[in-house]
Amino acid sequence: MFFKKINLVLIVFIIMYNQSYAEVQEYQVKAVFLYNFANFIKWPKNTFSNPDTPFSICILGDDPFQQEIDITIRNEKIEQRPVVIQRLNNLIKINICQILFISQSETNYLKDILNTLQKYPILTVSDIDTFVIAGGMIQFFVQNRRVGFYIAPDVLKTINLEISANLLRVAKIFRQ
Amino acid sequence: MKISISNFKLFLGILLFTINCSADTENHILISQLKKLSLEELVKIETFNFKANLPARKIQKLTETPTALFVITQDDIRRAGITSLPEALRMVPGMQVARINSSKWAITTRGLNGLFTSKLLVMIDGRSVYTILRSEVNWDTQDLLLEDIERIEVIRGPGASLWGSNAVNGMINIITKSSKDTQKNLITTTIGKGEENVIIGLRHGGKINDTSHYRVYGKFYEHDNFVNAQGINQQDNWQMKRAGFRIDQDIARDNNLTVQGDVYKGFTKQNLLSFQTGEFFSDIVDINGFNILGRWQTNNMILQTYYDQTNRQETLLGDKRGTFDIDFQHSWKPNANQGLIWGLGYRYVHDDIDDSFAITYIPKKRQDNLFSVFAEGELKLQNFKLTLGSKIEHNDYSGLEIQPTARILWNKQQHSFWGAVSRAIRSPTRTDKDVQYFLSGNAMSNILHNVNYENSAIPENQANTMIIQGNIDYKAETVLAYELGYRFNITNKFLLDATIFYNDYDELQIFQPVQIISPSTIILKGMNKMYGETYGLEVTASWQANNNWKLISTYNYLNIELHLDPDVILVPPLDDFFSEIQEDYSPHHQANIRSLLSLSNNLELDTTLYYVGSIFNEYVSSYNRFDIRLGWNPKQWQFSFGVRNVFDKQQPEFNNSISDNYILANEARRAFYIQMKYLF
Repeated sequence: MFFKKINLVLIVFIIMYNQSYAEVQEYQVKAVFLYNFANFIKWPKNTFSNPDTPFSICILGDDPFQQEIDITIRNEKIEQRPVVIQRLNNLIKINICQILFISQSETNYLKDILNTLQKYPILTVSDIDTFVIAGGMIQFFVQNRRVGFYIAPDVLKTINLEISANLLRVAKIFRQ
Repeated sequence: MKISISNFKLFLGILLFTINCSADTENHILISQLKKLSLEELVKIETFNFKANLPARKIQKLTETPTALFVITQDDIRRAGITSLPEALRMVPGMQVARINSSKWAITTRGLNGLFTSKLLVMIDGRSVYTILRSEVNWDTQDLLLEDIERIEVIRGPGASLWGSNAVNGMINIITKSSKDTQKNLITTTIGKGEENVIIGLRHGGKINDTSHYRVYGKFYEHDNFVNAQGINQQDNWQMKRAGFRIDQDIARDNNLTVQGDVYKGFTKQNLLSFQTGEFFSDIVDINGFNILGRWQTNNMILQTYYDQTNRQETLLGDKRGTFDIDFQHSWKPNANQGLIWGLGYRYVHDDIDDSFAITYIPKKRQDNLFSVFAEGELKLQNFKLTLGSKIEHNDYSGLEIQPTARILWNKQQHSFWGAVSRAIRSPTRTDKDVQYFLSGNAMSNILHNVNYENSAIPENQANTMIIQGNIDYKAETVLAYELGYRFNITNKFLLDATIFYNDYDELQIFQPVQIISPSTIILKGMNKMYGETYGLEVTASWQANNNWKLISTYNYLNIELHLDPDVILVPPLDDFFSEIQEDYSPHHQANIRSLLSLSNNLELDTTLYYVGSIFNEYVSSYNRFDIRLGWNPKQWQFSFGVRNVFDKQQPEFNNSISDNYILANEARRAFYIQMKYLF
C-alpha cells in the first residue's frame, strides 16, 4: 500500500517534470539561439549563389560550442537548405557564411573583423561584451544565469537583413 | 576456447560506440527539447552554474561530482541577509555553526565540534586559513567584502587526497570574483543592533589596459556586545579594519595571471579565565596581518604561491605566524574518458610565540616544512566514473602521511549515485606537541563549577593543581570515511541531494593523568588513546517553484560514539573531561528551510528558519531561529532591512566544551539591520 503511494507520487513527479532539461549549459542555449536566429531573420534574395548552396553558420576563432552546435543543426533545414557549420581561423572564406559567430578569442581583432565584414550580408553574433558598441549585430549576455541578447537593428538594416518582430520582442534593442 | 582478435576488436568497437553514444544522445535529447521552446521561453531558461573546483581541483558539474558538495552563491549570501563569513555557513546542510561569544565560533561538519575544531580545512582563494597553532580557524579575522565573493564551495567528508591533512570532516573554499567582474564601484553601509554595529565597505574597480583589470577595497567592521544568560551586556565587542586588492590579467584565452592581497588590523574582546586565581577577566586581543597571493593558470596548469602573516596577542598567549606556500598542479587528458591530475606542494611555517607562566611553549620559535605530492586519475566507462587518488605528504609533526581515496559515480540523466572510501588525517599541532598549561587549584575548581560538574567529589577550592602537557610523540588523528550519495536533478527546478556516511576514527586525542606529584598536583598528558564512530545522514532539497519563488531545505542527522582505549586510567574528577564527553558537543538533528520570494517592483522577501537540536554536554537545549529580510533593488541601489532571531531575545549556542573552557561563553542576541548599497 505504502509503496503504491510512493509509486504514484513518483509518476506524478515524472509527469510534472517530463518537460525537463537536465543541466542546461550556457553554450547549449547560445547554440540553440544561434540556430533560431536564422528562422527569425530574412536574408536578401541574392545571398545564395545557386540553389544547392547550404546555409552556413560560421564560428571564427576558438570554438566555445564544441559539438553542441553540430547537434543543434543536425538534420535541420533553413530556407529549404541543409545547414552546415564552418569553423574558421581567418576571414578568407568569409563570403560563404550567412551567420558568423565571433569567439571571445578574437576580442583584440574585433574592429578589423567588423570593418572587413561591413559589405557582406552576414549576421554577426558574439558574446564579447563590447560587441554591439563596436558595431556588431547581436550580442549575447548572461544575467541571473539566463541567456539574453542585444540586437542592433540599424546595423542589420544597412545590409538589408529583415528582422522578425518576434525576435525584437525578446531582445534588448541597442541603438548607437 | 579461443577469442579471435577480430572478435575482440568488434567488442571494443561496440563498447567505444556505446560510450560515445550515451553522452551524445543525452545532449541530443536536451538540445532537441530546447529547440522546441519559443524565444520567450528560451530567454527564461536558467543555465547551469552549479559547479565547483574543490572536489577535483578542476571545474566540475554537480552531477559529475562523487562528493557531498554544497555551493553557496553570492545571491544566497545577499538574500540570507548575512554579513559575515561564518554566519553564511549556517545554510549548509550538516554544518554546525555555534557562536561562543561575539567573535568566536565553533564550526564543523560531521561532529567533534569545539573552539579548536581541528577537522575542518578552510581556504580563501586557495590560501589556507587553518592555523596549526591550536588547529583552529580564527573566524574573526576571516573576512572580505562579501559582495566580491563569487561562491563558497563546501565539502562534507574528507578531501585530503587532493588538499592534504586536516580536511578530515570537511572543507571550505571561499572564491572571490575576478576583478573583471567587479568593474563597478560600490559603496555599502550596514547599521545594526545586536550583531553588527556598523559595516562600511568601499570598492573601486578599473581597467589597466584591454586585458588587465583591478579592484581595490576597504572595509570597516564593528560588532556589538553579546549578553550573558541574565541578559546583561558583556564586554566582547570587536572591530576590524581591512583593505585589499586584486589584479587579473588575461595573457591569452585560458591563460590568466592573478595577484591579490589583503591587510587587516583590529581587536576582539573576551572574558578569559585566569589560570592562577580562577576568576574571569576582560582581555583585549590585538590582531593584525597581511597576505599576498599570485596565481598563474592555463587550461591544464595552475601555479600558485602565497605568503600569509598573522599576529594575535592575548594576555596569556601571543602568536606571530608566517606561512609561505607554493603549489603546482597539472592535468592531462589523453581522451574524453580518461584524465589525470597531479601536483606538488611545499609549505614553510615560522612562528614566534609570546607565552606566559600559565601557558608555556618549548621551543618559543619554530620553523616547519611540509612537502606534498598528489595524483588523481579518472576513468569513464559508459555511465560510470571511477576516481582513484592519493596525497602523500611529509610534515614535521607526524612524518609521512598517506591519504588516499577511491570514488565511483553512476550518472544517467537526472539521477546520480556515488560512493567513496577515503582516509584522512588531522596532523598534530604546535600545541599538541610543545605546550604546557599550568592551572592552579582555584582555576580548576572554578572550571568544575562553571561546567556544572555535579559528580565532582571534590569540594570547591580544594581541586588539584593541574599541569597539562603536550606530547612530543603525539601522532596524527585518523579517519577512514565511507560515504554514499544520491542526487536527483531536473532543470535546476528541483534538486534532491542525500548523503549517508560512516566515519571510523582512530588515534583521537585525550588527556590522561601520567603522574601525581603530590596529592594536590596532577600532570596530564595528551595521548592518542580514543577511537570512535560517527554516522549520519544529510539531505538537501531545492525547488524553484516558479520564476519568483525558490525554496531550499536541508536536514541532517548525526550520531557520535567514542571509546577510550582499554588501558586508559582516569582519575576523578577528570573521568570524562577530555574524552568521551565530545560525543555530545553536536546536535543529533539540524534542519533549515529558506524561502526566497521575488515580488513586483524589485522587492524581495526572504525568510529562513533554522532548527538546531539540543547539545547535551553544552547545556544548550534545542532552539529555532527565524530570520527575515525585506529587500528593494531600484536600479543602482540596493536596500535591505532585516531581523535575525526574530523569536528570541537571546540564545545560547555553545557553552564551551570543557577542554576550551577558558573563554567565557556569551549568548547571541536578536539583531536588526539596515543595509544600503550603491553601485556606480
